[in-house]
Amino acid sequence: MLSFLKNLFSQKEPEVQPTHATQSVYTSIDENIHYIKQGLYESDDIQIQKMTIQNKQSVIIYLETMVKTEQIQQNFLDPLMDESIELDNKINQLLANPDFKQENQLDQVIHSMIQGNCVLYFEGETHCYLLNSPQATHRSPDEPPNEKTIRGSHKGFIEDLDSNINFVRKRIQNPQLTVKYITKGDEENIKIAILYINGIANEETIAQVKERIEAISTDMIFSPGYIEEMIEEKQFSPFQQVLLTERPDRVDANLIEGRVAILTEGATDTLIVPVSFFTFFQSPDDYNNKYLAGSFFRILRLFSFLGALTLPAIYIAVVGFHFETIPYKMVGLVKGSIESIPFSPLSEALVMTITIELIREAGIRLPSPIGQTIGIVGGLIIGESVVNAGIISNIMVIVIALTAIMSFVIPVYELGNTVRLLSIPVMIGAATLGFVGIIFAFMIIAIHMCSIESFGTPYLSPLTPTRFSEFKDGIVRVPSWMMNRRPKDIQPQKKIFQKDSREWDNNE
Amino acid sequence: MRKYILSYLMISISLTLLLTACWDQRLLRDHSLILAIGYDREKPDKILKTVSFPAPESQSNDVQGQGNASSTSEIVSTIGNTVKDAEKKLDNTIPEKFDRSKTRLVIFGEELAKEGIFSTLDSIYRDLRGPINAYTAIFTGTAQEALSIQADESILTSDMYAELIDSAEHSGIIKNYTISQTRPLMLAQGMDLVLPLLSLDKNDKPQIVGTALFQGDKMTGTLDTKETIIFLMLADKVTENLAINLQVSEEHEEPDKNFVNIDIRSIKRKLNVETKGNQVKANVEVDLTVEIDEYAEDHLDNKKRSDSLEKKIQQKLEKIAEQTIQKLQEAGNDSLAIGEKVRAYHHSTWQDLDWEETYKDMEIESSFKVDITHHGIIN
Amino acid sequence: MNSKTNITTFQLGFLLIHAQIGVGILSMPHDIFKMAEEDSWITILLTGMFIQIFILLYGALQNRFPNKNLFEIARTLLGKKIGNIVTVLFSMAYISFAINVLARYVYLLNAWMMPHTPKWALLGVMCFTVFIIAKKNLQIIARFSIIASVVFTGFVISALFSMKDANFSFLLPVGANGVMPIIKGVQATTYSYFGYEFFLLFSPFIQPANKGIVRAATIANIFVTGFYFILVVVTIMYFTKKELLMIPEPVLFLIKSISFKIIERPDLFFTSMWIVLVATTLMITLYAVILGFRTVMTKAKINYIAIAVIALIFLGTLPINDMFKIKAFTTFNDQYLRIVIWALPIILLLISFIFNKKEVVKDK
Repeated sequence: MLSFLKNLFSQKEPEVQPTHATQSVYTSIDENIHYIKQGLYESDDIQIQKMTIQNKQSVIIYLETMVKTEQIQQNFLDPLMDESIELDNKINQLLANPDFKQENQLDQVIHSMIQGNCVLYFEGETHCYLLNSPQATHRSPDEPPNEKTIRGSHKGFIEDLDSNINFVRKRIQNPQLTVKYITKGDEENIKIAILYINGIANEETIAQVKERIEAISTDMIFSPGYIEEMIEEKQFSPFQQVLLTERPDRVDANLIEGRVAILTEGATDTLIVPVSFFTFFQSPDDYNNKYLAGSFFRILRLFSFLGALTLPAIYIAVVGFHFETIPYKMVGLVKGSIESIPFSPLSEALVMTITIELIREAGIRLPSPIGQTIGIVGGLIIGESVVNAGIISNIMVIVIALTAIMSFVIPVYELGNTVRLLSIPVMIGAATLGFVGIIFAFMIIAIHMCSIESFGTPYLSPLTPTRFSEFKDGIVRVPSWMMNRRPKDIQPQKKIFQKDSREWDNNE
Repeated sequence: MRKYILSYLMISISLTLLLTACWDQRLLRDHSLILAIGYDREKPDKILKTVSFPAPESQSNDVQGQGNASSTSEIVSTIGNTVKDAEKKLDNTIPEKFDRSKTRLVIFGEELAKEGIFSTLDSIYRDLRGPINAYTAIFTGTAQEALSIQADESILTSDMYAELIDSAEHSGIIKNYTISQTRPLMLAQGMDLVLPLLSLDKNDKPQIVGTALFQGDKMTGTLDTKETIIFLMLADKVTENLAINLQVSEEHEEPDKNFVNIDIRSIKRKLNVETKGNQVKANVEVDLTVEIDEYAEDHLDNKKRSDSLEKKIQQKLEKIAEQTIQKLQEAGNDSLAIGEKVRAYHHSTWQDLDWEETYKDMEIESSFKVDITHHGIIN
Repeated sequence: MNSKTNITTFQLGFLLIHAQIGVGILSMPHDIFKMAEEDSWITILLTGMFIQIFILLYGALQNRFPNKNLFEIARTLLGKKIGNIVTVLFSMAYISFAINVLARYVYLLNAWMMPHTPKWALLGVMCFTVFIIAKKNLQIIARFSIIASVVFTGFVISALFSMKDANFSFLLPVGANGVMPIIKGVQATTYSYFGYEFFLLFSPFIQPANKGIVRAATIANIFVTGFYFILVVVTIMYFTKKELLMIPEPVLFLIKSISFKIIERPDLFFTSMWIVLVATTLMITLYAVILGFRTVMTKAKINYIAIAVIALIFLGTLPINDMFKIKAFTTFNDQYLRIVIWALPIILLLISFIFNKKEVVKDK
């Protein structure tokens, strides 16, 4: 509701953008050249080449940085130069080529030049021709390094929107797969594509996605994270409410389940909505494993989420408040290890947590040989000597290291960061009220998670609101022939996903 | 939007304020953990409290830094009007604060046990951090003596005692009770408490010498180790792995051949209580399945010999049982829970009875049935 | 907007369970045992049946007004003014109930876990936690209460764990003290059951409307009775008579004496988990209070009502700081609640029957 009002409001504001008067093509070469040059602010990469084709004065204008010249020569100029066919016939022939267009608005001409078109103009005509031959360097669709899988597809999205949609369409060869473009970014004109499968995805969700993306008003969209923050419901929540992925197979699976994908030009990340909390614990690898292993790892991830959130807090509470809970045989050991530590357990934990974050942050951006060195120096040497020096107890080092590992187990990297950050308030709670503090911190987090909804989907579904039948794919992973229905929480139009696929097994 | 941020800010500020305080914090490193407590009566009416705790490690020799648990014990004793009073004085003796929540063992001196232990344990029951899972034991001398012994290197006094009675329970020699388990037994009318009885041998090594019998919370008698085993069978408290050595004859010259060692495989006990007016009669039947562990006379494949051996064992067991039951009755200790059975199943009789009196004079019969099923890998 | 606040009957069941089971579970076996001794377990079953009668009666009332909550029913039947008075009476009853819950929560926490933490701190965190959820909608409370139900399994498992030290003969003899103690016990137990009446307040939120509400309440009642039954039976079997009269929180004492290999003193964990149960009870109660005040003061903002109610409860709890005051307040609260919760709906039902007033249900 609020966003809708805001939307109305923003539309009333005067447009800051300079208003382009529509200017049709002039009838002389020089006037046109002048206008285009002005329109591009006399940029130095404008190439202007005057020539005569079949006795007609003509000019081609293009941005040399955006156009692949050999292709123009080959595809357009060579045929035009061919004197055996009359020019008009030739042009009519060429117009059948989708890359050869006729245009009579000069502003449109300028705009398409930026996108990599070459302008061809014949003296005296009221229109010009656009020759599309963009110069593009694509990298190969490598597997995204942060979503590696052991088996299955190893393709990843690249920075080109068309190729990305191509990847998805290749996987889903279904006419119902719909692509809707929205152009956003007042100075940048970034193309955003909304992908969904008509007839499966919930219409209300689609409308909501469109509405929210239309409402975006910004000069540029730097990264998908911008869009994410602008369309998610709880704007201050530490939890991810949109799934980011670089894997076409993941997008494919989610589209088929009835979700909506948002792709952006120039970005490798695809946003998927609506998602629930448990989506973040699924990895494509689960489905390549046997169901038992798949379920086991998925539950392991859920527990490591809980563990990463609470483990340091529990340790602080135990050592600082309730040491009677330590088993008799361990209590001497624990006491021995913390006996000479000068800090309180909380500051000990904070120091260690921050150290680990430092090591991670330092290692992440450095080239990998140096990154490894940082890992060794940070992890081994600091860890070892901090204990030897008696600044931090060795049990605390174990606890914090374990916490870090647990947070890295979560397949979505961003959620891992969230967990490590959230564990700090839980620790503070533990240092204030012991177990009671942990419980309260936990309750507040749980309440918050209960109140999040992502595009109408309760965040904690299927746990609560409870749908036991959806634990099958939400929390554990049952064999694929048992997952016959789509998750209900995204309210798909088509509920049945598959029928009995093991029919051959029945008549024995 | 701005309102949101403001309220979030206020909440976080108030939370941080709250966090500056941590009222109930008790840091493990600031507490000395009492691992064993001994209570004695100091004449005429004071309590002598002895605590054993791991000695703080000397700082000079730790090259590796930390992580080693201390393995030598120290003891401190204080005298006070009550347990808590003595404890308060304890805190003045060492730099750290004492904490008794991890206590593993509570030992009572015999003298104090005879006067009653319930009021001594009161502070443990009442304390929210009271070590109610600690084992309890009675020592034939004073508890101070028991805790002052010089244990071997690398084992704490508390560990030594705790492991002693723990392993003894595993081999079926005694039955241990934690402090929380002792209380119902002290308070219930139809049940009574028994605790392991410890002593020191000639070399000042601790050993188990039997069982202390209680009536209510007062120690009123003892059983020796053999009687204890029979008692545990009668009371259905045998855990496992029980082995008994019995003398079954006197005729052989070689002393070894007069004895048999049996290993009990399974045990079934039945307690029958009959009431006739105000007369209560109890009958304990014990069915044993045993393996012969050691029997130098051999030839157990002979059915007759085997049967006669069974009979001999039965007689021997019954004889000790009779003696045991007599001791129990003299001590007024109803740990066979006959009273509880009367209360639960013959409630009207129970209400008319003065159970303590009735128990002392009532008739308790015991019968054993022994079945030899295995005799090792030779006949 | 409306569809977002709806709950299912499944969620309603959990809401009712959490409303009923709360602060009392730790001490309830002791309270009953004082009255009914060995027969406490019979008392529990009897109370469950007794409560079921009320659930059916309330169900009859709710059936006549399927789209109205109790406050609106009162307004329709008694007119706006008297209806408002009834609503305020109800809300005050729940406020006093919340105060009692909080007072007992603080007392117990101080006794069992945090002897030195000041009352206001413990109260403050609880009030804050409850506040942030009570001002949201019922759906979120329902979702939370389902997560919170994990706690029950913990309690049941650990209660069953202590069975190894249990004496079955402590349950015997059955009925030796006659019927009167059992009935007196029922009187003492009903307080632990309050909360079943909430379905009258929440009925308009339930989708699909009107179907299975009574069934959900019944299932919740059976669950609560079963849960109490397990706790009572286990505590009776574990403790002797003298002990049970001496120990005010037998459930915790029971758990305190269990010791696992990995953790000792599990009672600390359970006291912490029990806080969740207290919190859910408070959330639901508070939501009902806010609902009541919103019916009376239609214009006031929900945030302000919530803050005012929380402040009232916080300040109301502070002076009740020792056991005797808590006991006195509980007695008062018990009687007040009985009048309001038992009598008022029944009167409304009677009026509705006598004057044959019913809500006209529009055909869809």
